[in-house]
Amino acid sequence: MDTGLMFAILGASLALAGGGIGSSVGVGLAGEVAAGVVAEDPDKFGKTLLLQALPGTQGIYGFLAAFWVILKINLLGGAAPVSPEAGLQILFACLAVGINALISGIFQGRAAAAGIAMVGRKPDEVGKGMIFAAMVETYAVLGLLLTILLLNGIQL
Amino acid sequence: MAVAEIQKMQIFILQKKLQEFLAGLQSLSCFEISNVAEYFAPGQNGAALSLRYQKIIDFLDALFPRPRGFIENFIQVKPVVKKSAAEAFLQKQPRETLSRLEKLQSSWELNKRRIKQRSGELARQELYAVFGLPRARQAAKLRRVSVIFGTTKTVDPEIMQVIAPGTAKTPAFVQLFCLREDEANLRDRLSGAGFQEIILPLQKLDYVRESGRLRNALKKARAQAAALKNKLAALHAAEYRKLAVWADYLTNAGELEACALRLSATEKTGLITGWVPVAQKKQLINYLEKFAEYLYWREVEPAQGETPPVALRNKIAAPLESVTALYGLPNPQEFDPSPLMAPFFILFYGLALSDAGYGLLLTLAAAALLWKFRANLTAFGRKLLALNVYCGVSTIIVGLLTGSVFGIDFNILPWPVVKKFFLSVKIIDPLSNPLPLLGLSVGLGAVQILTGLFLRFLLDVRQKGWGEAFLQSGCWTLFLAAIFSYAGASFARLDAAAKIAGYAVLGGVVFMILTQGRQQKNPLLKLCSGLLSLYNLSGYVGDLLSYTRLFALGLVTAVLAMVINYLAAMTGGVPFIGVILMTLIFIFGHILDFLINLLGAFVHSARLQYVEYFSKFFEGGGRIFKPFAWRTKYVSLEK
Repeated sequence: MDTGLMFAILGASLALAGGGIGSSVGVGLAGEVAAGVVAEDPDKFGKTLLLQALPGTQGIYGFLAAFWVILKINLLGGAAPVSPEAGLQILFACLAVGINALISGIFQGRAAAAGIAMVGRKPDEVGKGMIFAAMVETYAVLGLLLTILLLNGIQL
Repeated sequence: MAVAEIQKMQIFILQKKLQEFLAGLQSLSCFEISNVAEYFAPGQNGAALSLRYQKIIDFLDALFPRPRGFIENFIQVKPVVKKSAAEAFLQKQPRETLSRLEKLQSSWELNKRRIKQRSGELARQELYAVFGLPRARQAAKLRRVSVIFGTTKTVDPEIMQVIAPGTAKTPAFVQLFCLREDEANLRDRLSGAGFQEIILPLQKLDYVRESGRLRNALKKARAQAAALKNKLAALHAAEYRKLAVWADYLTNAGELEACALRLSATEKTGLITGWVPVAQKKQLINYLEKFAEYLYWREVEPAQGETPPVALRNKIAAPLESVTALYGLPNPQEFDPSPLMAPFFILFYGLALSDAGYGLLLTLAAAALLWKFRANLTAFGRKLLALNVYCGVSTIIVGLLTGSVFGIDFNILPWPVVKKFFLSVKIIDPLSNPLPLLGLSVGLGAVQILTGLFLRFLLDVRQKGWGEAFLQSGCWTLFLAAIFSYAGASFARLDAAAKIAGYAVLGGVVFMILTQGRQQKNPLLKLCSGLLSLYNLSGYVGDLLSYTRLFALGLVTAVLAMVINYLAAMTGGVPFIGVILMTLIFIFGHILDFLINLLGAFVHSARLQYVEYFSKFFEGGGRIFKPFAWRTKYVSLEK
C-alpha cells in the first residue's frame, strides 16, 4: 500500500473541503440576506447576485489546489510513486489553502451579506460593498499562492 | 492631471428677468448654484400638464416596454436625445399628439375592459351550454323536486346523474334531483366533496347561440385592440422622444420656478451664488452679457472653510473616472487619480484575468454592447463599456504572452500556423516556472508604490515647500527606490548593481535615522524616533506582498480553464452523448470561469488602487460639481 499517495490524496481532499465549506457557508449567508433585499425590490437581483458570488471563489481556490496535487502526483495518468515523506509534505502544503479558505470564506460571506444589506438602502454603493468583501479574500489568495509555491518546490 | 479649476461667482439680477435667465442657465449647464440647498422642489406651475404627459408616457412604456435586462440596467440604457434635437422639439408643444394619444388610451382601456368582461361571460355561457337551456327551463318548472347542476371531480353515482363525463383534468358535469325539503341536507353533504354548483340563468337566447354571439363580439374587440395597438405603436415610434422631452421639460420648468422664488434677495432683485469651472467661464460670461442691462456679476474668493466642488476632466482616461468615483472624489487641492492609475488598473486587470480567449470575449462583448446601444447609451454606460474594452485588450496581450488561450494546450492544435504563432509569442510559462511572473507582479507593485510616493512628494512640494517635502516624502521615495533596486538586482543576480544599491540603502538608513526624529526636542528621542520610523518599512513590505494576488488570480483563471478542457476531453469518450456532454462542459465551464474571474479581476485591481496606491497620495473628500442643468427622467440629454 502506498502511504505517500494516501497522504497526498488526503491533502487534496482537505484543500477542497476547506474551500468548499468556507464558500458554501459564505455564499449561503450572503444569499439569505440577498433574498430579503430582493423581496423588497426585485430590480436589485443583479447587484445582490454579484455580491453573493464573491465568497464563492474560496471553493474554486480549494479545487485548484486539489487539482494541482492531482497533476503533481500524476494521479490521472496512473499515479507516480510518492514517498511517505513527500506525501506528508503535500498534505501540509495543502493545509495553507484549506484552512485559510475555510475561515476567509465564512467571513467574506458575512462581509458580503453586510454589503448586500447596504445595497438594499443605497443601490449605487454596490462597488464599495464589493471592495469590503474582497478585502477578506486577500488571505484566501495568499493561502492558495503559498500552497502552489510549496507544491512546486516539493520533490517527489 | 489635477482636477479642473473652479471659480466662485456672484450674480445679482432683477427679479423680472430671473426666470428667463435661469432657463438659459439651465440649458447651458455649466454653473452650480450654491445658495439654494436643493434646486428642485415639486413646482405647481405646469404640474397638471406635465402629469398628463407623464401619464401617457407611463402608459406607452407599459404597452411597449423597453428591454430592461440586467445588462441594460447596469450600463444605463435610456433614450438619448441630442441637445440640438431637444431644442427643436421644444419649438412646438405636441398638444394634438397628446390629446390624440389620450383618446386612444381611453379607448384602449375601454376595449381592454370589454374584452375581459366578454371573455368571462363567454366562459360562463359555454359552461351553461353543456347543460342546455331546455333542461334549465324544465328544472325550473318542477314543484316538489329541486334540481342542482354542477361540476365535480368525484362522481357519486348513487345521487348524481352524469351529463358529460370528466377527464383526468376536467371535472364531470352532473345533475342531482332531490325533494325540496331535503335540499339543505344535500347541499351540506356536497359542500365538502369538491362540488361546484352552477346556477343556470333563464335567458331568452339559447346558451349556444349566446356563446356564438359573444365569440363574434370578442373577435371584433380583439381586432379593434390590434388596430389600436398598431396606431399606438406608430405614434410611439414617431413621437415618443418628443413627448418624453416635453414631459421632462415641463417638470423642469415647474422646478425652475420654485428655484427662482427661493433666490430672491430683495423685493426687486435676486442673488445667485455659485461655481463655474474656469474652462467654461468664457461661455458663461458670454451668456451673462446678453442680460447686461439687468444684472451685475463679480468673481469672489471662496469663504473661509468653504471648499469648491470638484469636476473631473479626462479624455482618454475618462473611463477610469468610474473607478475613482467608486472610492470617492479628490478634494480640490490634489490630483485627479483617474489618469494616474489608468495604466496600472488596466495592466493589473489583464494580469488578473490573464487569458487571451477571455480577453477577446470581453472586448467583443463590450464592443458589441457599445454598438447595439449606440443610440441609447448614457455617458456613464459608454465610459463603463470603454473601460471594459481597454481591459479586454490588456487581457489579450497578457494571455498571449503567458500562453493562455481558453486554457488550450497548443501542442494539440491541428493548425501548424496558429500553433507556431501562439508558441512564438509566449514568453513566460507560469505553470512550469511561476517565479518570473510572481516577480513581475511584485515588481509592478514596487513601481506603483514608488509612483504613489512620488505623487505625494509633488503634492507636499506644492503645499509645504521643497525642504519639508523632501524630508517627509521625497526621502522615503528615494529610500524605497534604493531598497527595491537592491532587491531587484539581487533577484536578477546582478552583483555589481546590487552592491551599489546596497550602499545606497545603508546611506538611506543613516539618513532616515538622523532626520525622521526632527520633531522631537530631546536628542535621544530624536534618535529613537528616527530608528522607529524604519518600522514603516514593514508596511511597505505588506503592500508589496499584496501584489502577489495578481499572479495568483492569473493562475486561477488559466488553470481553471485547463481543468475545464480536461474534464470536457474526458467526457468526449462517453458513447453516444459524449460529444454533446463535451460541448456543454466546454461552453458552460468557460463561461463560468470567465464570469467569476471577470468579477475577481475588477474587484482586486480596484482594491490594489484603493488600498495600496491611493493610500500613498490620495485624500479624497471632494464633492462632485453638479451644474444647474436639466434633470431628466425619461430621456438622457447628451451633447
